[in-house]
Amino acid sequence: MSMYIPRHHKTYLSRAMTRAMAIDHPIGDPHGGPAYGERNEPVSAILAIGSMFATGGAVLAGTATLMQGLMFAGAALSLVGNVTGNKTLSKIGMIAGLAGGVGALAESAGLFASGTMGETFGYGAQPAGAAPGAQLAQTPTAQVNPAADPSSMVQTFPLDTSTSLPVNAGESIVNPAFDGAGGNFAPDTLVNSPLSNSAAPGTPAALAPPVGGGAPTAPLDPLANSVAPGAAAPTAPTAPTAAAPTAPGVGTSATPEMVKIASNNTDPIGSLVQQMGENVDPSYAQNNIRQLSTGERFMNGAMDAGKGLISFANKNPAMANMMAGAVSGGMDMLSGKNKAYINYLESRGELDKAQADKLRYEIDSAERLRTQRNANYANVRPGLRIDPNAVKFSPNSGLIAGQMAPTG
Amino acid sequence: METGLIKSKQDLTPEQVKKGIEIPSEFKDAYERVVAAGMTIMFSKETSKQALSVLKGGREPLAQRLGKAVAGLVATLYKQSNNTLPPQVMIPAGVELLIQAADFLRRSGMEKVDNQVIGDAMDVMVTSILQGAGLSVEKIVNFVDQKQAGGGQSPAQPQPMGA
Repeated sequence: MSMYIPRHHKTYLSRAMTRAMAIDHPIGDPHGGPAYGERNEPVSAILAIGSMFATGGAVLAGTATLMQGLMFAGAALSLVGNVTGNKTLSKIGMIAGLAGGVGALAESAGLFASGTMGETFGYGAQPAGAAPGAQLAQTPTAQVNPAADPSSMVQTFPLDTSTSLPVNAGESIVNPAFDGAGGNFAPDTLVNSPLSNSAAPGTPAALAPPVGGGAPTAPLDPLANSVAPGAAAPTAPTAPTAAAPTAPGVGTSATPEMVKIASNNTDPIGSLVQQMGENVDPSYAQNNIRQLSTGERFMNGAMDAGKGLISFANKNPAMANMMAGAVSGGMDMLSGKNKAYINYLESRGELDKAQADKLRYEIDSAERLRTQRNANYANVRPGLRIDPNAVKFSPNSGLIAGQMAPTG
Repeated sequence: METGLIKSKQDLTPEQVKKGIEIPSEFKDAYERVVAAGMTIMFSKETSKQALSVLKGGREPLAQRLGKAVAGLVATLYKQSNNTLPPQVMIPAGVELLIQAADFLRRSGMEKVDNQVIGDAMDVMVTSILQGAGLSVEKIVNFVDQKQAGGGQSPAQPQPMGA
């Protein structure tokens, strides 16, 4: 008589199935859980890093949107390229200058004379007898100021502290005294760029509505002269007071930042991509690539300064007004009511935590390395005195180390 | 004597490179979050060992491994965001993550990282990300060369430091 012996039927679940059984989101929920794309398991993320490009990867993003990213990092790439001698990086960094449309602006403002902004941007002085605007065919090069401190290797931007910063017609702020800013505040972050009055004559830059609503009456940069509709265009700014270069295109830094200005061309990236023979990706939104306004730089620098910002604004109402106009909803941002500012604080918090993790890991790694080296020294040099605090285990332990114990 | 190149014996630092990254306010939040997420993966207790194993694996030169690892990290973050991450911040975030990783490797003594390695790794990283979008770095470089040549005047090269 045979007996029926049941066999255990084993079902091996995949990791995806195991995860699916442990989640709190229903499968197929488009707003959360695995269907949303969440991959909270760190090991999966790490494995994906290594295999992403080994398998060829998928198309990540469109051409024009990535090119915008190249512009944002253009100065950094140029710096690394110049310091390391990597010409590819240097040339990629120059792409920002090509998209800036600086030629149209400078020509219309008649700035190509020796010792003026033409040379600041890396254009040579107009040769005698040449057709007007002949330098426009040149491309400004990202140069490093040879006079810069060689120990810092950072491209410096000339700070012109003598030019007044008009806020409204008839009102100007010249080197305002910063009160209560504390030691963290760096006035050097307030860079007076000669491009602040950057609107080409007759073509004002994008207008922003004033704080409190109403029709826009001023250029985006509140530090520029106000341009009411129908009013005369602002006069071209004077040349910066930094020392004029002795030779065309040499001596004064012409970085991608300085040439990132809003020109007549409202879509410099799109046109650049098309010039290169590439298709503009459908997801690319036509953006006015504009220079960060002085107010935005100020805000960025002030936010980095830390908690002194709000008390500083309270003590300097004129500066607070300027700051409020610099970024839309500025005062709400300062008071913390604006969601964007809250998100910004959260992201900074995450960044600070990541920095702390990096430092902690660095210390642990260095400590392990040092301990290992000291242990090796103790094994091969019997007479060597080792600080017991530096060695994590007794030098007399172990078969070989025990035979080599110091006799002294 | 080399022209157009500036050699420095001082190592590039994250602070120096970060100064060259300018992010408009509309992208700043996304940029900070991406960098924070990338650094968390690289340096947090839970994931740092695995991240390091990815970096140390393979027989390629360190610059290749570092550049590809950071490019892969940025791509992974983009995928994990369900493609909602603004592509505009990918390359700048990659630049900062790479210099942070290189700085960590150098200061912890794990690898010998000099400016040459950083430059080559940055080249590999940018090339990899652009290739992910079907864009060729050679095309960009040739385009820049054409624009410069079309001016009829060769741009003045920056003077080498100390020359």
